Amino acid sequence: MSMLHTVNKSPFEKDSMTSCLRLSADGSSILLIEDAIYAALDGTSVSDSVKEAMKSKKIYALQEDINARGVQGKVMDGIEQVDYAGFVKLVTEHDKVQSWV
Amino acid sequence: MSDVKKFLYVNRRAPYGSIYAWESLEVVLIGAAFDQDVALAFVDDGVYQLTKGQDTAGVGMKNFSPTYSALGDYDINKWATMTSTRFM
Amino acid sequence: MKLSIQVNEGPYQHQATDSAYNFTKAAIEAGHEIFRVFFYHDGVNNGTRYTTPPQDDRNVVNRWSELAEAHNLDLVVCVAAAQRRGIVDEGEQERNGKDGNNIAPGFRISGLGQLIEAGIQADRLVVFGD
Repeated sequence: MSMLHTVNKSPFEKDSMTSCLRLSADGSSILLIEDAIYAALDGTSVSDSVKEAMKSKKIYALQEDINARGVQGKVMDGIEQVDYAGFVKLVTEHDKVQSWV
Repeated sequence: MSDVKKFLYVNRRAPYGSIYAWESLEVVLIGAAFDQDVALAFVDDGVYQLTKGQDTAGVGMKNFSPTYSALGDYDINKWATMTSTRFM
Repeated sequence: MKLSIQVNEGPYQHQATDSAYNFTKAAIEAGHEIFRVFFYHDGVNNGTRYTTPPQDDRNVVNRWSELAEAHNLDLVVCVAAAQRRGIVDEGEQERNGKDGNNIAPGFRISGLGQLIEAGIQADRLVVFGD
């Protein structure tokens, strides 16, 4: 069973990203939207833990939210960028969706 | 509606500081009538919903903590709490 | 595929309803069926037609109404959450002796059972919140 997790909070403000990484199963997909985009950036204090998670989980980030925040080009390698159509596709391709709101 | 689905309610908010815990409990209570396969998880600050001795008289809010003990009457018997550093 | 959407936050304060709207639109464009959009917690505030944002900003409420009109969406506002927050339709106005109502076109007020049903009937339930 494959599961898609969505996270929407900055990892510097809330612990939803940490909890999601801790509790999601290996092989899960995680989509970063809204302020969780800041978890996708390279060179921050959480980048290493995100990179570690990428060894066992696939991480995506929503393009529209990246652009809105002006951080194009700062997203770390290995994170796949998807638009809203891609978001919808991810939802349908996974068996379940868990939103870490 | 004969098909039974699995529902996992993930509670990650503490009570009283926001309404999420209380209104989420309302979902659980209503959902009980639908005879689905229901389980509750208490994660992060959600574990504070289960603290004993909640007394809301001084804040003038409804103390809904006794409801958790009554969930068995609704045939909701699957609970999980995460190991937490939030209790000293 | 049949999708249900849950919106837990009101307009403008949080991005949640914008994200939910963009997601719903994209899902429709991809040919999926939206079984229901359910508004809960402060999300019920998406359903008041009294919202009046500045001209140069998006109108979150109208946007939902227009999407509902165009694609026959079922926009459901939770009655218990709505009563707490003063979202009223004609039926609620009468039942609770209020002097008016404020529900926006395309929205209807109904019980939490509609959310459970949305979870049962749809293939996926996608939640947007704080």
